[in-house]
Amino acid sequence: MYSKDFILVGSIVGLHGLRGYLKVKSFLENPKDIFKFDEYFINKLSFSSILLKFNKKSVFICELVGINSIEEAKKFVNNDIFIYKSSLPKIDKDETYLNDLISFNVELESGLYLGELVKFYDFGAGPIIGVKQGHKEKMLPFSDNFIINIDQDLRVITLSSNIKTLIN
Amino acid sequence: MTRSVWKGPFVDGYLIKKADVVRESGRNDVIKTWSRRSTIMPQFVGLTFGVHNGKKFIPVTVTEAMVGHKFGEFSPTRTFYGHAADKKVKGK
Repeated sequence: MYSKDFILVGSIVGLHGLRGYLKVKSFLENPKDIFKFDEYFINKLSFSSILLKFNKKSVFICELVGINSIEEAKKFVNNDIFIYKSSLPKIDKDETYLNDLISFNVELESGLYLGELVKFYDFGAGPIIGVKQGHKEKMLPFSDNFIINIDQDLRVITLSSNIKTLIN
Repeated sequence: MTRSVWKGPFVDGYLIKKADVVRESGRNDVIKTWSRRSTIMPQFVGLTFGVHNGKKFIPVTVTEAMVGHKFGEFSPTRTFYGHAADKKVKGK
């Protein structure tokens, strides 16, 4: 629905009460950062802000400016929240947003092509990348110990040969 | 019921042997294992294991905070759809 200039930051997962409040789930590293942006895009509409009312377990109860009734709010349930990619905080020259690495080619330092990076995972034991070649997806570690080089120009990630055991 | 303390933590013997070999070699090779039931021991810290989830091996890099947990806790067996919208990585 949205082009590459946008990035997904959250999702509206339900309604709360009768005043048009919405349950918002944040996908950001620090979930509260979702309220720091200047413009949001939900269901093809633009909003200047999302007002936080209170927290409820893992979701935020929020109000969208101009949405005051449950009937209006219903239209936004199960929709994703996007922002302009350019509104993400500036990063150092040697840093990259993980999202920008998707579709990079992954290879071993020996030159063996492993596939295309399709997804990032984190199960609590270090970052993991999902690398797809054909129909098969492999999961490989993505910590400093195993990253040899990330070439932004050639769009290639080189990993250490120590992960060979996971490939076979 | 919790496990009796006098028994000590359970670890499959072959896993300790494999970890010793990798640690002594000085290389950071990934150790493949199907032993989800094994407890993470202090001597595993810094090593990376590939823990089988029934379908594939999930890389598990052991840190100090993980000691005492089981390997299976870090290798989910069901499909997970996550997001990493604003996470960063240092380029090399």
